[in-house]
Amino acid sequence: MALLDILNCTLRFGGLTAVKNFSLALEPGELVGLIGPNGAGKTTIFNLISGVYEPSEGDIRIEGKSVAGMRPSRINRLGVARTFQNIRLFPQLTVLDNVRVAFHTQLRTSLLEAVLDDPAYRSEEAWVEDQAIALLRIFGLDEARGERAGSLPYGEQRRLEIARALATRPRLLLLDEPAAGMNPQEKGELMEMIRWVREHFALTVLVIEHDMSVVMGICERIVVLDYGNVIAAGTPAEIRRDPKVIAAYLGVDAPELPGNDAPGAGR
Amino acid sequence: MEAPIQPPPPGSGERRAAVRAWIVAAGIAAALLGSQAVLDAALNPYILQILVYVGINITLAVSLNLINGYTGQFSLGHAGFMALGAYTSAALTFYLGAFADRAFGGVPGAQTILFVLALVAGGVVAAMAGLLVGIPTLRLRGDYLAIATLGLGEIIRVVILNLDFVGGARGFTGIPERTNLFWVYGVAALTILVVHRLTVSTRGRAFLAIREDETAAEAMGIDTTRYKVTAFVVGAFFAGIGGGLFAHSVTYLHTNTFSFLKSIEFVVMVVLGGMGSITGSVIAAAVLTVLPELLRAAQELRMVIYSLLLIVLMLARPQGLLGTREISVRRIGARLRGRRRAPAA
Repeated sequence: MALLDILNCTLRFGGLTAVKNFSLALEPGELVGLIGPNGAGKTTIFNLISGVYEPSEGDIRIEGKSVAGMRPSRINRLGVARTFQNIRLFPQLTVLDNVRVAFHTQLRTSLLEAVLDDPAYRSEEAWVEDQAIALLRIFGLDEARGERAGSLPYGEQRRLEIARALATRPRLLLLDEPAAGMNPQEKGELMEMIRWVREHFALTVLVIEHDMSVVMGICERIVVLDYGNVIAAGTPAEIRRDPKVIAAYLGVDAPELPGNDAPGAGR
Repeated sequence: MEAPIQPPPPGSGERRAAVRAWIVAAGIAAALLGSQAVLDAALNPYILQILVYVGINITLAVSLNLINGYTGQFSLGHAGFMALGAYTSAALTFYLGAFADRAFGGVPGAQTILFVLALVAGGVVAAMAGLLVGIPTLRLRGDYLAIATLGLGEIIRVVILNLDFVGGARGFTGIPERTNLFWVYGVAALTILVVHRLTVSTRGRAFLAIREDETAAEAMGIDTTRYKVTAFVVGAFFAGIGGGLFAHSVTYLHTNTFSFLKSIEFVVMVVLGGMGSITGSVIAAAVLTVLPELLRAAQELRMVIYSLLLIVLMLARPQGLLGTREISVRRIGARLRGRRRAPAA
């Protein structure tokens, strides 16, 4: 069974159709890229999967279970974690606390046990801290564990966001422009890390990325979106040659593209 | 590291440390109880009354800090919860006092037990109001929530104003005087302990995560509505108990005391002390309770000076006296001994 199944999803904001009849199936272990020009609806699709928006039409299923209309926290419990395009850490909390908070759904003791300082609570706290530090170590952030997350350099904030998402123990990881603002060397390290993390955490990864070297470098399959429509899908090599993709990105006028009636196609 | 995340181990023995903590707490309570008699004899009633107010305001400010400071939900209804606790507990001791004497007259401390039960009942009523109102209003954000909670506080006040059996517009007189420093500071200590333990725990860090970024908190599996309501309920509970202490200290209640200006007083304490700092709230509650009394000498300029001091303080330290930091005895001790603790482990 597919891990994620998006079935003919449409999302409208009043008169604006942000995503139109979008379908995508992810098999366990896949690493898929979602690309498209600015405003194509990529992040909107992430928001649909993670429950920030509810689809106007269509359905979203995690392992066959419909999640359309569920709260993001419940969808996270089902194994979907994400990062955000414009980094959303908990800036005033320490690096360690950012990861610690993400263990929320795995906690067994209640707030009452915390208030009573129950032994079970204490040993769980110790466990969470160990696990969090182990995760930080993977991302080279364990030295910075006591610093405020907001004071970290940009690249480290991006890494911390991935560490925090992994702490929720996801099966599906959604990465929204992980390479944004990184230099070529950092991008190389990031690609290495995404591959490694997928392997070791047995993850399925869906990644939005503008940087073609990164997308082409790590993704096995790519879906191209423009104006809320899928215009192409396939392996990196196929996508690179696809005239519709080239048109969408380079703004080639469209006489040779029959059926492309999207508004403003000739940018 | 093959499997970085493993299941938690079963609860292992740290019971001794926990027991020790409770023994220390009991010892402090006993010391407070003992010192009460000494203080009563040594201090004049005016200073004693101010100390009572300081303790009550600490309870109110720290409990509001859980809502406003830690969870970031701007509530202006704290005086309403305080009023609920005050009137509920006062009505219980007022109407059941004679009954308790008749039924349990021989039992030592019957009136004290009734007082404690009334305090708890006041807290529970306030907490239930918090739950009832929190579920719909906490969907609102920022300014909208502030206005909704402000309205809530006023509704509570007006409803009580029209209840004849608690005095209505005449005010509620004849409430027995039961509050003393022991109960006031016992409750304040309990409030501090509970809010502290809630907010340092991994589960309780959810409150802070909501303040920091609600969308991200929700995406990390935190049911934000549930935690906002929890903060509201716990905060309201302690506000209710604080109200009960207040009622049994002044022995006379009027709804005017619990107008939204009172709520703003508590908000000022939280903001001045630092949103998300318990010790900050404690210091601010003490300073803002004592300061108007010290300024009595300045007569008509008193509130002008008070306001100016507030403005200057907020200009100088917009993040509050302590920001989000805490004053910790352990850290001060370590510094005095000249050794430095490793960075927050």
